[in-house]
Amino acid sequence: MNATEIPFEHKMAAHCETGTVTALLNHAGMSITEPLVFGISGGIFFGYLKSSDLPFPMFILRSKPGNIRKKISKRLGVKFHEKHFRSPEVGESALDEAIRQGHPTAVQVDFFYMDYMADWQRVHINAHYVIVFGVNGSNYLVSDSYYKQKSVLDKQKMLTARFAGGMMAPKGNMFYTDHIPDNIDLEKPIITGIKRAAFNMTRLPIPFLGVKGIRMFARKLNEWPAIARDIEDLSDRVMKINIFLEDQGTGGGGFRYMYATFLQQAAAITKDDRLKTMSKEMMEIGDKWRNISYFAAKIGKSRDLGPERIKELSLMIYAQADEEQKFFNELYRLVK
Amino acid sequence: MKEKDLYIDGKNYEMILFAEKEDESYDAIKSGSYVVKHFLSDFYLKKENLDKALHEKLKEGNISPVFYYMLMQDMGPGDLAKRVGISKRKLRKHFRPGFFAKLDDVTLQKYAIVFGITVEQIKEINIH
Repeated sequence: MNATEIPFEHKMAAHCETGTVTALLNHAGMSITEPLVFGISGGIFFGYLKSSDLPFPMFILRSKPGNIRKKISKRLGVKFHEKHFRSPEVGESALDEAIRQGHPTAVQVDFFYMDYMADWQRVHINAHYVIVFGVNGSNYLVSDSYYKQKSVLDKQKMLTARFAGGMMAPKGNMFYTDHIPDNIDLEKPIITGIKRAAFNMTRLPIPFLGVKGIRMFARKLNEWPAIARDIEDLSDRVMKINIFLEDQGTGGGGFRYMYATFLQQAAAITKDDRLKTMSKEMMEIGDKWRNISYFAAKIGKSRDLGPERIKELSLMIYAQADEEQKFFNELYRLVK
Repeated sequence: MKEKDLYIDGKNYEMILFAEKEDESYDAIKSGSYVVKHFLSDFYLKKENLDKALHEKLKEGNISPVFYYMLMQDMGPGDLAKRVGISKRKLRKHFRPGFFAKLDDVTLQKYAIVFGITVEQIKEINIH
Protein backbone atom coordinates (compact mmCIF):
# COMPACT_ATOMS: atom_id res chain seq x y z
CA MET A 1 0.00 0.00 0.00
CA ASN A 2 1.73 3.15 -1.14
CA ALA A 3 -0.84 5.91 -1.15
CA THR A 4 -4.38 5.84 0.16
CA GLU A 5 -6.32 8.84 1.30
CA ILE A 6 -9.82 8.67 2.69
CA PRO A 7 -11.70 11.96 2.14
CA PHE A 8 -11.90 13.36 5.64
CA GLU A 9 -12.78 16.80 6.97
CA HIS A 10 -10.19 18.04 9.43
CA LYS A 11 -11.50 20.20 12.23
CA MET A 12 -9.77 21.58 15.29
CA ALA A 13 -11.42 20.68 18.57
CA ALA A 14 -11.03 21.72 22.18
CA HIS A 15 -10.14 18.27 23.43
CA CYS A 16 -8.52 15.32 21.68
CA GLU A 17 -10.79 12.46 22.77
CA THR A 18 -14.11 14.29 22.44
CA GLY A 19 -12.84 15.88 19.22
CA THR A 20 -11.85 12.51 17.80
CA VAL A 21 -15.13 10.80 18.70
CA THR A 22 -17.11 13.78 17.36
CA ALA A 23 -15.15 13.81 14.09
CA LEU A 24 -15.67 10.06 13.58
CA LEU A 25 -19.41 10.37 14.25
CA ASN A 26 -19.69 13.37 11.95
CA HIS A 27 -17.79 11.53 9.25
CA ALA A 28 -20.20 8.62 9.55
CA GLY A 29 -23.09 11.01 8.96
CA MET A 30 -24.29 11.72 12.50
CA SER A 31 -24.64 15.38 13.33
CA ILE A 32 -23.45 15.98 16.90
CA THR A 33 -21.30 18.66 18.54
CA GLU A 34 -18.22 18.25 20.69
CA PRO A 35 -19.89 19.65 23.86
CA LEU A 36 -22.76 17.16 23.45
CA VAL A 37 -20.31 14.29 23.19
CA PHE A 38 -18.53 15.60 26.28
CA GLY A 39 -21.72 16.05 28.29
CA ILE A 40 -23.47 12.83 27.28
CA SER A 41 -20.40 10.82 28.18
CA GLY A 42 -20.34 12.58 31.57
CA GLY A 43 -16.78 13.69 30.93
CA ILE A 44 -16.54 16.50 33.47
CA PHE A 45 -14.64 15.49 36.59
CA PHE A 46 -11.88 16.39 39.01
CA GLY A 47 -9.12 14.36 40.58
CA TYR A 48 -5.95 15.13 42.47
CA LEU A 49 -3.25 12.55 41.77
CA LYS A 50 0.09 11.74 43.26
CA SER A 51 2.16 8.78 42.14
CA SER A 52 5.69 7.77 41.26
CA ASP A 53 4.45 7.66 37.67
CA LEU A 54 4.16 11.43 37.80
CA PRO A 55 7.05 13.86 38.13
CA PHE A 56 4.96 16.01 40.46
CA PRO A 57 1.44 15.84 41.93
CA MET A 58 -1.15 16.88 39.35
CA PHE A 59 -4.86 17.21 38.86
CA ILE A 60 -7.19 15.94 36.17
CA LEU A 61 -10.39 17.62 35.04
CA ARG A 62 -12.05 14.89 33.00
CA SER A 63 -12.95 11.23 33.28
CA LYS A 64 -10.52 8.43 32.50
CA PRO A 65 -9.15 8.29 28.93
CA GLY A 66 -11.21 5.91 26.82
CA ASN A 67 -14.29 6.55 28.93
CA ILE A 68 -15.77 9.10 26.54
CA ARG A 69 -15.92 6.63 23.65
CA LYS A 70 -17.22 3.85 25.91
CA LYS A 71 -20.01 5.95 27.39
CA ILE A 72 -21.02 7.42 24.03
CA SER A 73 -21.24 3.92 22.66
CA LYS A 74 -23.33 2.75 25.60
CA ARG A 75 -25.67 5.73 25.80
CA LEU A 76 -26.23 6.41 22.10
CA GLY A 77 -26.11 2.80 20.91
CA VAL A 78 -23.29 3.64 18.50
CA LYS A 79 -21.02 0.68 17.80
CA PHE A 80 -17.30 1.18 17.49
CA HIS A 81 -14.93 -1.43 16.19
CA GLU A 82 -12.34 -1.21 18.96
CA LYS A 83 -9.18 -3.19 19.55
CA HIS A 84 -6.04 -3.45 21.67
CA PHE A 85 -2.98 -5.40 20.60
CA ARG A 86 -0.11 -7.18 22.24
CA SER A 87 2.04 -7.29 19.15
CA PRO A 88 3.07 -4.04 17.42
CA GLU A 89 3.26 -5.81 14.05
CA VAL A 90 -0.32 -7.06 14.31
CA GLY A 91 -1.43 -3.62 15.53
CA GLU A 92 0.21 -1.92 12.58
CA SER A 93 -1.26 -4.24 9.97
CA ALA A 94 -4.72 -3.91 11.57
CA LEU A 95 -4.48 -0.13 11.20
CA ASP A 96 -3.31 -0.43 7.59
CA GLU A 97 -6.15 -2.83 6.86
CA ALA A 98 -8.75 -0.49 8.42
CA ILE A 99 -7.49 2.35 6.24
CA ARG A 100 -7.49 0.15 3.16
CA GLN A 101 -11.13 -0.61 3.89
CA GLY A 102 -11.85 3.12 4.00
CA HIS A 103 -12.35 3.69 7.75
CA PRO A 104 -10.79 6.82 9.25
CA THR A 105 -9.40 5.29 12.43
CA ALA A 106 -8.75 6.83 15.83
CA VAL A 107 -5.58 5.69 17.57
CA GLN A 108 -4.38 6.27 21.12
CA VAL A 109 -0.80 7.53 21.19
CA ASP A 110 1.95 9.00 23.33
CA PHE A 111 1.76 12.73 22.57
CA PHE A 112 5.56 13.06 22.74
CA TYR A 113 6.06 11.45 19.33
CA MET A 114 3.68 13.78 17.46
CA ASP A 115 6.56 15.65 15.89
CA TYR A 116 4.42 18.16 13.96
CA MET A 117 3.66 19.86 17.30
CA ALA A 118 6.08 22.43 18.74
CA ASP A 119 8.90 21.12 20.96
CA TRP A 120 7.69 22.85 24.10
CA GLN A 121 4.28 21.21 23.80
CA ARG A 122 5.47 17.66 23.43
CA VAL A 123 5.30 15.75 26.70
CA HIS A 124 5.03 12.06 27.46
CA ILE A 125 1.32 11.49 27.94
CA ASN A 126 -0.28 8.32 26.71
CA ALA A 127 -3.80 9.68 26.61
CA HIS A 128 -3.72 11.45 23.27
CA TYR A 129 -6.00 10.52 20.37
CA VAL A 130 -5.54 11.25 16.68
CA ILE A 131 -7.33 10.10 13.55
CA VAL A 132 -5.41 8.33 10.82
CA PHE A 133 -7.13 8.81 7.46
CA GLY A 134 -4.57 7.62 4.96
CA VAL A 135 -1.12 6.36 4.10
CA ASN A 136 1.47 7.96 1.87
CA GLY A 137 4.66 5.95 1.42
CA SER A 138 6.27 5.67 4.83
CA ASN A 139 3.93 8.20 6.42
CA TYR A 140 0.46 8.15 7.88
CA LEU A 141 -1.91 11.02 7.13
CA VAL A 142 -3.07 12.31 10.48
CA SER A 143 -5.85 14.57 11.65
CA ASP A 144 -4.98 15.86 15.13
CA SER A 145 -7.65 18.06 16.71
CA TYR A 146 -4.94 20.17 18.43
CA TYR A 147 -3.24 21.00 15.15
CA LYS A 148 -4.42 23.64 12.71
CA GLN A 149 -4.24 21.44 9.61
CA LYS A 150 -3.91 17.86 8.46
CA SER A 151 -0.43 16.52 9.05
CA VAL A 152 1.77 13.48 8.45
CA LEU A 153 3.59 11.19 10.84
CA ASP A 154 6.29 8.67 10.07
CA LYS A 155 5.01 5.09 10.35
CA GLN A 156 7.81 4.03 12.68
CA LYS A 157 7.07 6.97 15.00
CA MET A 158 3.39 6.10 14.97
CA LEU A 159 4.24 2.54 15.93
CA THR A 160 6.41 3.71 18.83
CA ALA A 161 3.70 6.14 19.94
CA ARG A 162 0.95 3.49 19.80
CA PHE A 163 2.99 0.95 21.72
CA ALA A 164 4.69 3.22 24.26
CA GLY A 165 4.68 1.61 27.69
CA GLY A 166 4.20 3.35 31.01
CA MET A 167 1.19 4.86 32.69
CA MET A 168 -2.05 4.33 30.70
CA ALA A 169 -0.12 2.47 27.99
CA PRO A 170 -2.14 2.65 24.74
CA LYS A 171 -1.39 -0.99 23.76
CA GLY A 172 -2.10 -0.10 20.16
CA ASN A 173 -5.68 0.93 20.95
CA MET A 174 -7.58 1.88 17.80
CA PHE A 175 -11.25 2.29 16.91
CA TYR A 176 -13.55 3.31 14.11
CA THR A 177 -17.32 3.59 13.78
CA ASP A 178 -19.07 0.37 12.92
CA HIS A 179 -22.76 1.11 13.15
CA ILE A 180 -24.82 4.19 13.98
CA PRO A 181 -28.52 3.64 14.69
CA ASP A 182 -31.06 5.79 12.84
CA ASN A 183 -32.94 8.56 14.63
CA ILE A 184 -31.07 8.66 17.91
CA ASP A 185 -33.06 10.41 20.61
CA LEU A 186 -30.57 12.52 22.56
CA GLU A 187 -32.84 13.47 25.46
CA LYS A 188 -32.40 10.39 27.61
CA PRO A 189 -28.63 10.10 27.08
CA ILE A 190 -28.28 13.78 28.03
CA ILE A 191 -30.09 13.23 31.32
CA THR A 192 -28.06 10.09 32.05
CA GLY A 193 -24.82 11.94 31.26
CA ILE A 194 -25.71 14.83 33.58
CA LYS A 195 -26.79 12.51 36.37
CA ARG A 196 -23.61 10.48 36.15
CA ALA A 197 -21.35 13.55 36.07
CA ALA A 198 -23.12 15.15 39.04
CA PHE A 199 -22.90 11.87 40.94
CA ASN A 200 -19.18 11.51 40.22
CA MET A 201 -18.47 15.08 41.29
CA THR A 202 -20.37 15.01 44.57
CA ARG A 203 -21.06 11.49 45.74
CA LEU A 204 -17.99 9.35 45.16
CA PRO A 205 -16.66 8.23 48.55
CA ILE A 206 -13.03 8.72 47.52
CA PRO A 207 -11.07 11.60 49.06
CA PHE A 208 -9.15 12.65 45.96
CA LEU A 209 -11.98 12.59 43.41
CA GLY A 210 -14.78 15.03 42.60
CA VAL A 211 -15.26 18.09 44.81
CA LYS A 212 -13.37 16.26 47.56
CA GLY A 213 -10.47 16.18 45.11
CA ILE A 214 -10.70 19.95 44.59
CA ARG A 215 -10.46 20.40 48.37
CA MET A 216 -7.52 18.01 48.55
CA PHE A 217 -5.81 19.98 45.78
CA ALA A 218 -6.36 23.23 47.70
CA ARG A 219 -4.97 21.68 50.88
CA LYS A 220 -1.98 19.95 49.30
CA LEU A 221 -0.99 23.03 47.34
CA ASN A 222 0.48 24.40 50.56
CA GLU A 223 2.93 21.47 50.57
CA TRP A 224 4.19 22.15 47.06
CA PRO A 225 7.03 24.53 48.08
CA ALA A 226 8.49 21.73 50.23
CA ILE A 227 8.46 19.10 47.49
CA ALA A 228 9.64 21.28 44.58
CA ARG A 229 13.35 21.07 43.70
CA ASP A 230 13.86 24.83 43.82
CA ILE A 231 12.02 28.09 43.21
CA GLU A 232 12.13 27.70 39.43
CA ASP A 233 10.69 24.20 39.65
CA LEU A 234 7.94 25.50 41.93
CA SER A 235 7.26 28.36 39.51
CA ASP A 236 7.02 25.85 36.67
CA ARG A 237 4.59 23.65 38.61
CA VAL A 238 2.39 26.56 39.62
CA MET A 239 2.31 27.87 36.05
CA LYS A 240 1.31 24.40 34.90
CA ILE A 241 -1.92 24.92 36.85
CA ASN A 242 -2.73 27.43 34.11
CA ILE A 243 -1.70 25.02 31.37
CA PHE A 244 -3.75 22.13 32.79
CA LEU A 245 -6.78 24.39 33.15
CA GLU A 246 -6.60 26.24 29.87
CA ASP A 247 -4.14 24.95 27.30
CA GLN A 248 -4.19 21.19 27.54
CA GLY A 249 -7.30 20.70 25.49
CA THR A 250 -9.96 21.81 27.94
CA GLY A 251 -11.81 24.46 25.93
CA GLY A 252 -10.89 26.90 28.73
CA GLY A 253 -11.74 27.14 32.41
CA GLY A 254 -10.83 23.52 33.02
CA PHE A 255 -13.56 22.04 30.74
CA ARG A 256 -16.16 24.15 32.55
CA TYR A 257 -16.80 26.37 29.51
CA MET A 258 -17.37 23.32 27.36
CA TYR A 259 -19.75 21.91 29.96
CA ALA A 260 -21.66 25.21 30.06
CA THR A 261 -22.01 25.01 26.29
CA PHE A 262 -23.26 21.44 26.63
CA LEU A 263 -25.87 22.49 29.19
CA GLN A 264 -27.07 25.26 26.89
CA GLN A 265 -27.41 22.84 23.97
CA ALA A 266 -29.01 20.27 26.29
CA ALA A 267 -31.58 22.86 27.41
CA ALA A 268 -32.57 23.43 23.78
CA ILE A 269 -32.89 19.70 23.08
CA THR A 270 -34.78 18.78 26.25
CA LYS A 271 -36.72 22.09 26.23
CA ASP A 272 -35.87 22.52 29.90
CA ASP A 273 -35.12 26.14 30.80
CA ARG A 274 -33.69 25.17 34.14
CA LEU A 275 -30.69 23.69 32.36
CA LYS A 276 -30.19 27.05 30.65
CA THR A 277 -29.95 28.75 34.03
CA MET A 278 -27.50 26.07 35.14
CA SER A 279 -25.42 26.63 32.04
CA LYS A 280 -25.02 30.33 32.97
CA GLU A 281 -23.91 29.30 36.44
CA MET A 282 -21.41 26.85 34.98
CA MET A 283 -20.00 29.60 32.78
CA GLU A 284 -19.43 31.73 35.88
CA ILE A 285 -17.70 28.82 37.61
CA GLY A 286 -15.50 28.51 34.52
CA ASP A 287 -14.67 32.23 34.79
CA LYS A 288 -13.46 31.69 38.33
CA TRP A 289 -11.24 28.79 37.24
CA ARG A 290 -9.92 31.11 34.55
CA ASN A 291 -9.11 33.71 37.24
CA ILE A 292 -7.23 31.03 39.15
CA SER A 293 -5.18 30.21 36.08
CA TYR A 294 -4.36 33.89 35.43
CA PHE A 295 -3.32 34.28 39.06
CA ALA A 296 -1.19 31.10 39.00
CA ALA A 297 0.59 32.21 35.83
CA LYS A 298 1.27 35.65 37.25
CA ILE A 299 2.73 34.57 40.60
CA GLY A 300 4.69 31.82 38.84
CA LYS A 301 6.26 34.29 36.42
CA SER A 302 7.17 36.81 39.11
CA ARG A 303 8.43 33.99 41.42
CA ASP A 304 6.20 35.54 44.07
CA LEU A 305 5.62 32.15 45.66
CA GLY A 306 5.82 32.78 49.40
CA PRO A 307 3.43 31.01 51.79
CA GLU A 308 0.92 33.90 51.67
CA ARG A 309 0.59 33.80 47.90
CA ILE A 310 0.23 30.02 47.84
CA LYS A 311 -2.35 30.32 50.61
CA GLU A 312 -4.22 32.89 48.57
CA LEU A 313 -4.29 30.52 45.60
CA SER A 314 -5.33 27.67 47.85
CA LEU A 315 -8.26 29.68 49.22
CA MET A 316 -9.42 30.50 45.69
CA ILE A 317 -9.47 26.76 44.96
CA TYR A 318 -11.35 25.98 48.19
CA ALA A 319 -14.00 28.49 47.12
CA GLN A 320 -14.30 26.63 43.80
CA ALA A 321 -14.92 23.37 45.65
CA ASP A 322 -17.82 24.96 47.54
CA GLU A 323 -19.27 26.44 44.36
CA GLU A 324 -19.03 23.20 42.44
CA GLN A 325 -20.50 21.18 45.28
CA LYS A 326 -23.51 23.49 45.35
CA PHE A 327 -23.80 23.47 41.57
CA PHE A 328 -23.60 19.72 41.04
CA ASN A 329 -25.92 18.97 43.96
CA GLU A 330 -28.50 21.22 42.36
CA LEU A 331 -27.91 19.68 38.96
CA TYR A 332 -28.32 16.21 40.43
CA ARG A 333 -31.63 17.20 42.01
CA LEU A 334 -32.83 18.61 38.68
CA VAL A 335 -32.33 15.41 36.72
CA LYS A 336 -33.02 12.85 39.42
CA MET B 1 -16.61 34.51 29.60
CA LYS B 2 -17.46 36.77 26.69
CA GLU B 3 -15.68 36.14 23.43
CA LYS B 4 -13.96 39.53 23.40
CA ASP B 5 -12.57 39.02 26.93
CA LEU B 6 -11.44 35.48 26.28
CA TYR B 7 -9.90 35.87 22.85
CA ILE B 8 -6.10 36.07 22.77
CA ASP B 9 -4.31 37.05 19.63
CA GLY B 10 -1.70 34.44 18.72
CA LYS B 11 -1.36 33.17 15.21
CA ASN B 12 1.50 30.72 15.74
CA TYR B 13 -0.36 28.63 18.30
CA GLU B 14 -4.12 28.40 18.13
CA MET B 15 -6.58 26.34 20.09
CA ILE B 16 -10.31 26.02 20.61
CA LEU B 17 -12.00 27.68 23.56
CA PHE B 18 -15.69 27.95 24.37
CA ALA B 19 -17.03 31.44 24.93
CA GLU B 20 -20.16 33.52 25.12
CA LYS B 21 -21.03 35.08 21.77
CA GLU B 22 -22.77 38.44 21.19
CA ASP B 23 -26.19 36.74 21.09
CA GLU B 24 -25.56 35.05 24.48
CA SER B 25 -25.13 31.64 22.88
CA TYR B 26 -22.03 29.64 23.81
CA ASP B 27 -19.85 28.28 21.10
CA ALA B 28 -16.31 27.38 20.08
CA ILE B 29 -13.85 30.11 19.10
CA LYS B 30 -10.31 29.90 17.80
CA SER B 31 -7.92 31.72 20.07
CA GLY B 32 -4.24 31.98 20.96
CA SER B 33 -2.93 30.95 24.35
CA TYR B 34 -2.52 33.35 27.28
CA VAL B 35 0.50 31.51 28.68
CA VAL B 36 2.20 31.11 25.32
CA LYS B 37 1.72 34.77 24.47
CA HIS B 38 3.03 36.13 27.75
CA PHE B 39 5.16 33.48 29.39
CA LEU B 40 6.77 31.22 26.79
CA SER B 41 10.15 32.95 27.16
CA ASP B 42 10.01 32.30 30.91
CA PHE B 43 9.37 28.61 30.23
CA TYR B 44 12.46 28.46 27.98
CA LEU B 45 14.55 30.33 30.53
CA LYS B 46 13.70 27.83 33.24
CA LYS B 47 14.38 24.93 30.92
CA GLU B 48 17.76 26.41 30.02
CA ASN B 49 18.67 26.93 33.67
CA LEU B 50 17.69 23.37 34.48
CA ASP B 51 19.76 22.15 31.54
CA LYS B 52 22.82 24.06 32.76
CA ALA B 53 22.46 22.85 36.35
CA LEU B 54 22.06 19.24 35.24
CA HIS B 55 25.05 19.49 32.91
CA GLU B 56 27.14 20.64 35.87
CA LYS B 57 25.99 17.60 37.81
CA LEU B 58 26.78 15.36 34.85
CA LYS B 59 30.31 16.77 34.69
CA GLU B 60 30.80 16.32 38.41
CA GLY B 61 29.70 12.71 38.05
CA ASN B 62 26.70 13.04 40.35
CA ILE B 63 24.04 11.92 37.91
CA SER B 64 23.76 9.79 34.78
CA PRO B 65 22.30 10.76 31.37
CA VAL B 66 19.20 8.70 32.23
CA PHE B 67 18.48 11.00 35.15
CA TYR B 68 19.25 14.04 32.99
CA TYR B 69 16.75 13.07 30.29
CA MET B 70 14.12 12.03 32.81
CA LEU B 71 14.16 15.50 34.36
CA MET B 72 14.45 17.35 31.07
CA GLN B 73 11.45 15.48 29.67
CA ASP B 74 9.56 15.84 32.96
CA MET B 75 8.84 12.17 33.51
CA GLY B 76 8.08 10.31 36.73
CA PRO B 77 10.46 7.47 37.69
CA GLY B 78 7.62 4.91 37.84
CA ASP B 79 6.46 5.85 34.36
CA LEU B 80 9.98 5.77 32.91
CA ALA B 81 10.72 2.35 34.47
CA LYS B 82 7.51 0.93 32.95
CA ARG B 83 8.31 2.38 29.54
CA VAL B 84 11.78 0.87 29.54
CA GLY B 85 10.51 -2.37 31.03
CA ILE B 86 12.64 -2.51 34.17
CA SER B 87 11.94 -2.20 37.89
CA LYS B 88 12.08 1.13 39.69
CA ARG B 89 14.91 -0.23 41.81
CA LYS B 90 16.96 -0.97 38.73
CA LEU B 91 16.13 2.43 37.27
CA ARG B 92 17.42 4.13 40.40
CA LYS B 93 20.71 2.28 39.89
CA HIS B 94 20.87 3.64 36.35
CA PHE B 95 20.71 7.16 37.79
CA ARG B 96 24.26 6.58 39.07
CA PRO B 97 27.05 7.18 36.52
CA GLY B 98 28.99 4.06 37.58
CA PHE B 99 26.08 1.74 36.84
CA PHE B 100 25.15 3.65 33.71
CA ALA B 101 28.63 3.16 32.22
CA LYS B 102 28.16 -0.61 32.39
CA LEU B 103 24.86 -0.64 30.46
CA ASP B 104 24.79 -2.63 27.24
CA ASP B 105 23.54 -1.24 23.94
CA VAL B 106 20.23 -3.13 24.11
CA THR B 107 19.21 -1.34 27.31
CA LEU B 108 20.54 1.97 26.01
CA GLN B 109 18.47 1.51 22.87
CA LYS B 110 15.33 1.10 25.00
CA TYR B 111 16.11 4.38 26.77
CA ALA B 112 16.89 6.07 23.45
CA ILE B 113 13.48 5.11 22.01
CA VAL B 114 11.65 6.44 25.06
CA PHE B 115 13.58 9.73 25.01
CA GLY B 116 13.24 10.06 21.24
CA ILE B 117 17.03 10.24 20.67
CA THR B 118 19.80 7.96 19.39
CA VAL B 119 22.08 5.70 21.44
CA GLU B 120 25.02 7.92 20.43
CA GLN B 121 23.30 10.99 21.83
CA ILE B 122 22.63 9.33 25.15
CA LYS B 123 26.27 8.20 25.39
CA GLU B 124 27.82 11.49 24.26
CA ILE B 125 25.95 13.83 26.54
CA ASN B 126 28.59 13.26 29.23
CA ILE B 127 31.29 14.82 27.08
CA HIS B 128 29.54 18.11 26.25
